Amino acid sequence: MTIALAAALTAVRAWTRIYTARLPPAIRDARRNEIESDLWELHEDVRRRGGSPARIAIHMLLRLVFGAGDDLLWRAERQEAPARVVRDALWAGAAASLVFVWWLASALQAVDRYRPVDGINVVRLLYPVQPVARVPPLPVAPPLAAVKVQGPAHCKIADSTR
Amino acid sequence: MRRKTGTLVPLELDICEAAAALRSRGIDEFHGYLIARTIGDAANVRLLTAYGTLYRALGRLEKMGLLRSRWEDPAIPARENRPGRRLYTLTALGGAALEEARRASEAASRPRARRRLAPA
Repeated sequence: MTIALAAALTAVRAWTRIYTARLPPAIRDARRNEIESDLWELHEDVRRRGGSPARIAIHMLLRLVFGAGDDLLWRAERQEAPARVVRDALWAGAAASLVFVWWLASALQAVDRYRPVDGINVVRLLYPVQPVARVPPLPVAPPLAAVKVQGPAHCKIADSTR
Repeated sequence: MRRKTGTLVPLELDICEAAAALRSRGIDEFHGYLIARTIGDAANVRLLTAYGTLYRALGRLEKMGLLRSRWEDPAIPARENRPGRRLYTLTALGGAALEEARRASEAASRPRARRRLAPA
């Protein structure tokens, strides 16, 4: 199992634990077991079709993110105190967003680390290389009046022959 | 989106259609992932229905009596070394609702006959 797949599984399980917390055990366990079964089936199905672990991880995370709103509504339908639902949902949503952003940042770093030297570097495209030192400005030329014009030596020799 | 009483939203209709398609293939009972995969294959999309959206819709259909569910015998997943499945079945009411929805859809897509004006 790769780090990306482990992170995706952890994210889905953590989110399911959050929105099913403090529910009656029968409802809570039914939902958690159903999601666990779905995770296993998805993993097996994509693996059987020749998909990579990274693809399974992305698929799991997208299904998690797109269904998060319905998860919260499902929870709200089973909660008695609406104000508490909203507060819990906000905290849970914030926590899930942080986990997702952390995972995305880790995945991008991994892409940068393992990208071949001659390949297209996504991170470099997003953040172009900055110059390491500034080029010093050119010196300002002195005014023309201040320059004393001196002729070459052979000019003086030519004058003395006259 | 507020639904009309007695109507199915598109995802619920898709679930019933997929359940009927599985039944025609000899699969009477299906789990959540199988129904999501069947819907995805029928619509030719890669990303399956999200967890929250799918299981909330399955719960609604069960509450409406269009689906029935049971947990499989724990000995089977223990033997196959996997989590237990919740198996859903399309009920007779679900089949009737699907037929009704199909008829309504056909009627809506049929062009209306123009009324001819009688000659003066």
